Amino acid sequence: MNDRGRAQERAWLERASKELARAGDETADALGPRLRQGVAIRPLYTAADLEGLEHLDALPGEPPYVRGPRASMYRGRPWTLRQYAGFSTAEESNEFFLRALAEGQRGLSVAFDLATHRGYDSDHPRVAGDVGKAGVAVDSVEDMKRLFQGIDLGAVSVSMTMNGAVLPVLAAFIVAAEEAGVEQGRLSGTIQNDILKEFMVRNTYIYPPAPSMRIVADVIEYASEHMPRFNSVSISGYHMQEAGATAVQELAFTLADGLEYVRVARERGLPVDAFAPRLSFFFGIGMSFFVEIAKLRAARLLWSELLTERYQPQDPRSCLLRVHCQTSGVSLTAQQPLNNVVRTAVEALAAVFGGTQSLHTNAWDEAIALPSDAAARVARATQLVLQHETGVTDVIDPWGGSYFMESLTAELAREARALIDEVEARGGMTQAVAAGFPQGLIDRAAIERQARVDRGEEIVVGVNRFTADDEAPLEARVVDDERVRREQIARLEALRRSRDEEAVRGALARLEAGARGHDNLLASSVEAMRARATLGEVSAALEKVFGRYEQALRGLAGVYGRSVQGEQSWETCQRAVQAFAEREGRPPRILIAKLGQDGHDRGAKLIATGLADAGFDVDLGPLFSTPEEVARIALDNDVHVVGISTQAGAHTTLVPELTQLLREAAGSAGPLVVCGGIVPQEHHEQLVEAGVAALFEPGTPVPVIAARIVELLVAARDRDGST
Amino acid sequence: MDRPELDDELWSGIVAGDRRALARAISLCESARADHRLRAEALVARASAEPRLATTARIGLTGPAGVGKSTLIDTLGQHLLQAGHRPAVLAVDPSSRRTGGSLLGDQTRMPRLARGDAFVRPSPTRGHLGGAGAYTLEAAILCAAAGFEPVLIETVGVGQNETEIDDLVDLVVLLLQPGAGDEVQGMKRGLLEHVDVLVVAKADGPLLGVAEETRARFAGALRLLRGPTAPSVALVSAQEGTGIAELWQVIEAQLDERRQSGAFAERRARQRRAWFRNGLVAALTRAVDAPGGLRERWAHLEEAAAHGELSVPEAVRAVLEGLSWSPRV
Ligand code: B12
Ligand SMILES: Nc1nc2c(ncn2[C@@H]2O[C@H](COP(=O)(O)OP(=O)(O)O)[C@@H](O)[C@H]2O)c(=O)[nH]1
Ligand SMILES: [Mg+2]
Repeated sequence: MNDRGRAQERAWLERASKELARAGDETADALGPRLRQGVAIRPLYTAADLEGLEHLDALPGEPPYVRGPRASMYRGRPWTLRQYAGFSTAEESNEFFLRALAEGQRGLSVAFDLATHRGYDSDHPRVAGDVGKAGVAVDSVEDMKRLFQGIDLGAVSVSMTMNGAVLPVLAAFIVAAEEAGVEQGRLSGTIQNDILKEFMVRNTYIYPPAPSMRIVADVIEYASEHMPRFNSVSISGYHMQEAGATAVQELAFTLADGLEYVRVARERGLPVDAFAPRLSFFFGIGMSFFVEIAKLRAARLLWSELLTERYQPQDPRSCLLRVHCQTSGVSLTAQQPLNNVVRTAVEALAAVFGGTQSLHTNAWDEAIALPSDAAARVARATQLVLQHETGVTDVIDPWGGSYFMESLTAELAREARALIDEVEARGGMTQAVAAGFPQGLIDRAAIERQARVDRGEEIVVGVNRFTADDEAPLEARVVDDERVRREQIARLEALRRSRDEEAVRGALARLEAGARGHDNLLASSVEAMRARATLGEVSAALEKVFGRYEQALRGLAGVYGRSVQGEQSWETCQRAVQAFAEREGRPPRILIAKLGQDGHDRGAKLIATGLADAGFDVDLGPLFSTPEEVARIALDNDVHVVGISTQAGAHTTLVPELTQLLREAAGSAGPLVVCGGIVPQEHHEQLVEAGVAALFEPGTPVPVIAARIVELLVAARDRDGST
Repeated sequence: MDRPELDDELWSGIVAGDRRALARAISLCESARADHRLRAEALVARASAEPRLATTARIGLTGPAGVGKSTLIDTLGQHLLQAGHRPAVLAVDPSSRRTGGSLLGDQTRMPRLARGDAFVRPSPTRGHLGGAGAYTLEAAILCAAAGFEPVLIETVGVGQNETEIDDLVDLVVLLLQPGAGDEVQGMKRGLLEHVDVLVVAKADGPLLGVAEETRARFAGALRLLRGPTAPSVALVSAQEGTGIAELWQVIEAQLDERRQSGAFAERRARQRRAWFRNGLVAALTRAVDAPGGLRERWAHLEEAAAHGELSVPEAVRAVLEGLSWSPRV
């Protein structure tokens, strides 16, 4: 910076400080840096902040693509309105898709149920309660055909969030399209196929890391040969953000995942230009408005640099990062839910300013259940309003050249690069993930964030400030999973009756043999699905060879407690826990459990950590447990409380089963049962009747939860006078 | 003296193999309450007289945090179940010995075992009146009485507590990371002199080569230190299940041999001596600090020492002389 610039900035600082002093504000605080997503934001940026930045000259469509992947951007074609949806049976989801397309949606994005995600047919004993609940149930090619009935797969692009069971699902899609007259070369869309972030944060993995990476490579290889218009991986940071990652972590780990996929595909002998143009990206967009815009710009910058440095591609499209975005679900609240419309609109705007290629906007009942029809309509309209009423598509990269935005972009890129280097030094993402490195950082960020909210330092309107207590309950979409399961089972039976059993056995045997050898497993899966093998059968054949992977849940003892030390409510609850411990001879012991195929573990890890820090002894149960397994652990460990963290809607089936088992085994001397997570109001009564002693909705501060549980325990002890 | 009275109902549950009775009895052992302690002692006393106790092996698995103990127990446990055993697992995490609560994630680290017929009980050890070791012994004795065998005990260690685990179990299995070396220098010869079975864990994938080298290095070091009778060093991958059956064979062979030579019974006797001594120390410490205890009864001597009217050594001696025996301390 030159002397004149420096003098000018000093003069500004003086003026600003004087103003604040007059107003009686604490000057140092008001003008100091503010942390957003771990990035320090100053009150003013000037031309000096652009000095030395190398990316400023490039225009849209030019490397390093900071200003946009295409030259024409939204002037040519606005972003694609692509809402993620799916529930119940294929027919019901199909109806929903047709309506959405009629109401302005441009592309489809399929949410599968958790049974499908984890490679189980709907009739598997481990998935009772999960069928059709948090996504659509798909067991076979026939279901896939029903899902796209009346939709021209040659014209509408379809994105599918599928990772663990990517082989049977993509195979079923290919065969369903083929039987509807669209051959695979014409299919456009995206398969998520990003297994690394499953091990990290999303938890719908099936096989161990090594064979899982082989499957990713098989899909990339197959698509590069046969499906030129299809994105073979959607490298996803979105889920990391939702699990608690900071912007820099999301950026770094996503690109590091990308590098790992490039590496495995190169090891297959594929030239980089044969597949890199078909890698796409997926980011989450939260409430840190400026940071989110800068994140998308920095992502393009970094990907272009990284690919150019390492692989010198000939095709410029190989270095070009195309992105889908989804607004953040965790930023949305169960309290005053209509406020979520505003949050989502602001996030959507950030995604658009960041230059996204397609976008999902959340519904305002996000923290209550799957979107109702009415809420889904508002979510779509949010994008339509932005696109058609505001003029945001008129100009390309409107933030280009902003002192602040350009410097923020460079800073995020710099910090992310440092973290990527660290991952690479650990041998790349597969190894870093196996060692739990990114998971540890993300979990810590998530717990610290909750502590800031619980402390009131980070304001969430309607949750820790400006609260109201006269909220009317709203109508939630509730799927009758029992019915869906019955229907699916009937269909499976019909399918198994009508198919050529010998052909199926043969195809499955070839698949299994191929898994032991080096066949392309997508090609073999297409054969098996075409012969009408089911999704569960294909998965099971692979599981025989690869095994099913189990990963430990880890809390982070101390992280929550340290962040709230000194808070009055915290110390009060610690004293209550202590008093219980003295009276009973041991601290209250709680089992935190996850039932069914629900892989949301952020809340469970938070509560486990928070309660341990408050003085509880906490057992953390494994993911994907059945009620029998949870009851067994609870009784063997002789816990005082079983705490169920439920997110994916299976609670009405699985929680009553658990309370029943506990009652049968231990009568009234058994543990208390409490629940937290997503339980719509209309289920409360049913769960309370089943014996649940308390329900905690999203947004409840941890100290409140801890204090309430101790209170319930003390009351129960006083009642039975037991020791 | 209060005579501990046997809770007959709980006891009959335990001997019948009822998991819930066993679970509740172990909670009594964990408790810091004096009345619970008495009930626990009565149960342990009764269980100690069970013939099963002498035949139920206690096997310790130790090694640094993250080396793969829980995962190995998960896999070994499957193997044992298939072979017709009914194992119990006690996981004692000394990192939980802080005041306040503790996070016991072991169940998620042994997910398959948590689903099977084994009895898995992770425990915080902080509350126990007789110390962590005594708690584990009591719980192990109760598990044996309930018909679980063998009893596997997981403890974190490399440094100080390996002698402690030596006092708890019939056989110590030490797990090493592939590439282990430097920290093992620090863990000194004491451990290598004691350990019964050495295992290099995670011998799979990219770590396999390193694991083999580590095995060779330790096999050499052990031969130097312990000559021809040095224990062998096993390679296992809990993730892939390789080396597990072989590991169990080695363990069983060692146990058989010691049973025949009498070393097994000798070691148990030694353990009971150590337990007796530790129990006595703990009891005396309690007797000093408890309400109505020695310190309170001789408060005037403490005060006198505090105000310089007596020297501290004189005050201490005066207390001891006031007791009916005069130890030479
Ligand atoms: C984060 C999130 C994710 C992350 C999960 C990351 C992770 N590792 O946990 C990602 C992006 C991976 C994800 C994926 C999916 N998600 Co999601 N997700 C959410 C979201 C936005 C927030 C949940 C959260 O973690 N909040 C933060 C934590 C701290 O809050 P919390 O869990 O509520 O916990 C608080 C209280 O509830 C309570 N509590 C919680 N547990 C417990 C336990 C005890 C014992 C106690 C005392 C208290 C307690 O204490 C906490 C502090 O207040 C919710 C919507 C929402 N806003 O709640 C959807 C939501 C849960 N997801 C949903 C769905 C459908 C899915 C998918 C199944 C979609 C699909 N078909 O592919 C996938 C599959 C994931 C899987 N494997 O199961 C639906 C479930 C619908 C339903 N119940 O009917 C929801 C409700 C969104 C929606 N409206 O559609 N998701
Ligand atoms: N590659 C590999 N990793 C393992 C193996 N056993 C355990 N691990 C990993 O090592 C880490 C620590 O395992 P854990 O059993 O909890 O270790 P403990 O602290 O010693 O009980 C986990 O991430 C495991 O997945 C193995 O056999 N092979
Ligand atoms: Mg362990």
